[in-house]
Amino acid sequence: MRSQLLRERINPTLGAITFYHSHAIAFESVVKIPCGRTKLFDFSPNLLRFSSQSSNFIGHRRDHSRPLRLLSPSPALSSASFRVRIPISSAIVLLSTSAVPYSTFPFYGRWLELGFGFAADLVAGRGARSRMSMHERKTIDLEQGWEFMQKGITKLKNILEGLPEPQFSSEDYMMLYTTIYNMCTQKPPHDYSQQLYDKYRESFEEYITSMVLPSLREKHDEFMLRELVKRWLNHKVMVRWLSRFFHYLDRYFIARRSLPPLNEVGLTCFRELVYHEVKGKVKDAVISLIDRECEGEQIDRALLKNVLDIFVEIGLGNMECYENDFEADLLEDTAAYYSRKASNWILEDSCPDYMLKAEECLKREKDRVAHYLHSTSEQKMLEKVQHELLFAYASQLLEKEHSGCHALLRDDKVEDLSRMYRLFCRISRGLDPVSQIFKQHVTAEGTALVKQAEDAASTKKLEGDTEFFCLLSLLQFFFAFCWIVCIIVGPYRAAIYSYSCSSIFACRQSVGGICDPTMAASNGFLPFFCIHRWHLFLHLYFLSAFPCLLFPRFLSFSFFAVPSSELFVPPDSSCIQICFPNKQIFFTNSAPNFLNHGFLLVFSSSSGFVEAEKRDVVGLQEQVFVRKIIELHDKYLAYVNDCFQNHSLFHKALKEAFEVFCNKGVAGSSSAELLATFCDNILKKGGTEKLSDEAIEETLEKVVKLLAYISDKDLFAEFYRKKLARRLLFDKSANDDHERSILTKLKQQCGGQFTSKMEGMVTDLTLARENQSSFEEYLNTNSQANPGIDLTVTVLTTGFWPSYKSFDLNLPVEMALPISLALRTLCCVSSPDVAIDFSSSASSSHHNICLSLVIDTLCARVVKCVEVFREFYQTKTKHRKLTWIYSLGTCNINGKFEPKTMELIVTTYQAAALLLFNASDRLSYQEIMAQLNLGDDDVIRLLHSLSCAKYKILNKEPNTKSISSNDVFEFNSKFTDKMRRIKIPLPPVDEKKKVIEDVDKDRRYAIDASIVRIMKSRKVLGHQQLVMECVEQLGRMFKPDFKAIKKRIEDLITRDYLERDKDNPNIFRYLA
Amino acid sequence: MRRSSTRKSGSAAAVNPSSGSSYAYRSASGKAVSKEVERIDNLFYTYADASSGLIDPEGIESFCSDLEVDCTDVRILMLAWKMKAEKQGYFTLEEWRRGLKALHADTISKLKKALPELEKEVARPSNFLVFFSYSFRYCLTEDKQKSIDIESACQLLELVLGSQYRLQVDKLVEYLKSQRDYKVINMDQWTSFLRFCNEINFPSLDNYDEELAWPLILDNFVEWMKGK
Repeated sequence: MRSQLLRERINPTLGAITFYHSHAIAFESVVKIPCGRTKLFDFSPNLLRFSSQSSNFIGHRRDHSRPLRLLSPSPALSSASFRVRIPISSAIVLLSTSAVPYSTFPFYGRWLELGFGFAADLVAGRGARSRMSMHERKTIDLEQGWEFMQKGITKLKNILEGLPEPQFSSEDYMMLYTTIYNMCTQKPPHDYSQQLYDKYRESFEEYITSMVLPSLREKHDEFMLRELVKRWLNHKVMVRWLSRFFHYLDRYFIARRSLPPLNEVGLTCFRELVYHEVKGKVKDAVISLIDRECEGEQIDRALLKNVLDIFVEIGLGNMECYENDFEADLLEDTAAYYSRKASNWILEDSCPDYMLKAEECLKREKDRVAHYLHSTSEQKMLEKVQHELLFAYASQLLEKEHSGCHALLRDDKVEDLSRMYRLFCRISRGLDPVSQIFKQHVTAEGTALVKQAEDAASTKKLEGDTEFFCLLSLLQFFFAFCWIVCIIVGPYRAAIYSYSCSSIFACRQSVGGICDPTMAASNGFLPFFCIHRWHLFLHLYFLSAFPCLLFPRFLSFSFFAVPSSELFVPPDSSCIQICFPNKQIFFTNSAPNFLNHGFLLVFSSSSGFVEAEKRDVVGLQEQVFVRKIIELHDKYLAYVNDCFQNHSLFHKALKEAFEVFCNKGVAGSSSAELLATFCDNILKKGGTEKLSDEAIEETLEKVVKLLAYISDKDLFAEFYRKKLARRLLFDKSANDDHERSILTKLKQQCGGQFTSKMEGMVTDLTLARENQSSFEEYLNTNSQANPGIDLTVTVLTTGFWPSYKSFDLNLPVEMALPISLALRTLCCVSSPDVAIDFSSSASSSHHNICLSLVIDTLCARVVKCVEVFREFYQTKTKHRKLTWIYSLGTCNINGKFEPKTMELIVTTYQAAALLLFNASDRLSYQEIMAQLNLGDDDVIRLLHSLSCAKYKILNKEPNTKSISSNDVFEFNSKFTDKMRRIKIPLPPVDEKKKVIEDVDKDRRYAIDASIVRIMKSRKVLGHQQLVMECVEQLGRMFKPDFKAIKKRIEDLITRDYLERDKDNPNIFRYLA
Repeated sequence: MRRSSTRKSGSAAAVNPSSGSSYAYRSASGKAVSKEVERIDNLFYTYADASSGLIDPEGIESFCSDLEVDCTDVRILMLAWKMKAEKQGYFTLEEWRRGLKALHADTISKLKKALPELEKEVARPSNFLVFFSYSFRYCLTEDKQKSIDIESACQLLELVLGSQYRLQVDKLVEYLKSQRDYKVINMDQWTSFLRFCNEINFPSLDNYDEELAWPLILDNFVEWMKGK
């Protein structure tokens, strides 16, 4: 608009340029004249110099209001472009051109392109110049001037009112401006500035009172709003025009007196007169419109927007009007509205519905703000709504019985939970109760799992019960069948009866017998031929079946068909042959033999089933428990990540919840142990879990995550180490990569200290494997040293591995076995490469050696083997003591049983025990113990594995399922099996107690060290602080008991590390 | 891990009498004082064993009977405290002089009269703590011994605190004899017994706070009390 004005004013016919002062600071412009050269205007305070190559224009500027003459027109300038540069103190604002005598002025007939660096009001008056130029102007008095102005104002009013009136021409406008200009520039007392300023205001007031207010008063509601909007728009136009007419006032009079500028005066008039009168009505009307919209009506949003803009604009950059006169009430109204709504909804709707509505409401309010409210209201509005809808009813909503947060979590309503998060994350502390409920829920779920596992553990026997019933019904069928058969097939009757009855005996035996899983395998049923009549069979059947029902246990029927055994046949003639007396033959007549074999199949398969099941149930329920915990964690971690946007509050809640039930043990096993067992099950060969590599990795990752919740990490480490040792030494580890990967994960989570020992163990094993060849080479080159037995030795670094009893395993094999019997043991020894790894770090450390013997024949020369290896080891390292741990060794021995020769894979202990039978046929318990030089525990364990478990290499008298010190053992030469090579497991000692004791001891050291560390740095510290810091330091590994800490403090006081402060008994001092 | 206590032996050396110092002491004192010292010395030699130059347990026994006090009486312990006697059952000349001079007693009859005064002195709170810990140290007969067995501790407790805190001592002794966690009592626990008796309301135990640095043995005792 302005540039348009400019172009109009700088008309081709103009000839002079008038510069006026302005408030602007700097001004630079390029005046372009076609085909011109650049000239400079130098603007010194009173002189304008126009320089060009051909001539100088010098203009005197006597008065800021006077036109400046460009004196020397030159045709040469006709196509010059020049730059106007004006000092900072003054700038051209008003450019007035008028005809000058020099008709050849170069601008003539051209458009001037003036680019001003800032917006300038440009008013030029050609006509004004001619009439009111400095020289010919007459003094105008107020009446006369105002009359002229009044005309203009009336015209403006008429235009605004929409009366027919011609538009303002430039000339009219110019005239009005010039009139004001002149009236203000007259010398006092004819300077009417003040009067004009007042008149200016009065003219607004007059218009408002006469026109605006009446028209507003007669309208109501929406119409009133429309009228107001229209009036406001008009008023703004009027202010714009009038302030332009009176612009000269603004520039000098007002600036000098610091009065409110014209624009403001105009708007203030409206505010004082109109706004203050109607604001109440307007506000009510607007709010009622908004209310109608809330109820779903369509309203004129544009109108509301315009009305609300008035509230904003009327403040002249200050939001007070909007805030006080409108917003406050709107907020109040909104609050009341939603409060009403919420109180209904909370009663009627379910939690998800309520949340849906609440979210919808919030969205609508946001929408509303976007459409017609001021943007500053958004936050306030939303806060109000949130307060009314959510904050006020938070607890009621979250705890709704059938649909509250609990129910949502229970029913996995992911959508609703996400919504809940979205809603409650906005209100202050709104998430606290949600996270609390979340925590409670997870805790409850987890605790339920723990309980379930507990129940499973206690009803394990009941489960066995059901299996027993299955078996019983199977038996019933079978007997019924037999019975029918026996009626039909007379000759076989007796045999069938006898078999049935014997099985019942077996039944009864195992039912009333031992619950130890390894002992459950039944081996004996002697009275085969004692029953010959079928009614007796029935009688006995029920007799034995009832106790079975009353005392349910796992049944295992292990029917050993023991054919007449001859002796061990040595494959190698160099070996001494040891003969065994013939054993009793059970079935000699052919008919029962047939039955025997037939039945045996049935029975052994069912027994296998039961046994397998039972073994699984022990491990399985722990396995299932950990699995379930992992699943639970996955599920709720997903909740935290997805529904709750990874909010830290929920992570914390999840952590706390898991910490609660993850630290509860199940059936006497701590969770640390369960986790370790779980890992073991995954990592070992033939574990119950059959997983792909990826699945294993993933599961391990999760287990390690779970570990974070367990406070007794040291206990886990100890159990894990034990199991790892077993896996590594007995070659049960399924995959080396997995072993290493879980160690890496553990390291990341718990630090290097946590895994250093385990890593050392794995490394030991790797080294052992790598250097197997080294020993073999040694043997090859030193053929005289070769003991003639394959020997594999694994050297273990002391400290890395769990401690094993080594002293009482003192070479029982060669001690007990006289060499004169020419027992030859082939041992092959492999040692780890200690050259760099060990010698540098632990040149004097002791190494435990786990001895694995592969005994080709029933001969042993263990001493030789040990010696050979020791010599070999000395060549590689010095100053190292080797301690042999026979409890960890395994041997392969060939047993020459009557049916066939079999290879038995046994532990070194078992081998030693078996080798005793090379010397004598029968050995009593006491003899065996004396010869083996082992403790009762070990002897019982290994004899049980040989005589009472699945494979009965030894016959025991009396034939019971437990070992007592009066038993006598005899080689079972009739033993056989389908396989040529069998492994006879020796169940590991239950080390739980020892592990817990070890951990307890380690903890004592750890607490001591921690206290001393703290006190060393703090010197003087209060008891409670000391305890807290200690707990904090150790918390990464375990949660120390306060009492334990106190006890350690006491101990440290006794040992003069600490003393109690003399004045304050609650403060300790460190004694350096 | 056990640290040898250097502090204790150091302090012992500082108190140990030496003949040189006693000589200097005698020559520097005035006439009246030297007379008193002489009488004290004479009294010492009536009980001292000629060969060792000490009053040994036998001497103490006869001293006690002259004093008409039982030798297990707490007052003898107080006397030992006054003398700063190092070794249980023995008084050296130096200790003897120190104690009797401080009591201004150079005869048995004077000493008898001084005993009630001594009792009052010990009963003063500031002195009692010192006396209390002294009584513990007095029972440490072996070199580097730092704790006394429960049995002796109970006896000592009866002796030292029995008159003042009958209730507490009875219960504490009953507990100490019934518990199995501790076989010995160390100095810290010993002093905390006194603190316990002084500070804790008995038998309500309402102001006992397990969070504070009470030794575990007292935590257990309180638990035991509450269980009853």
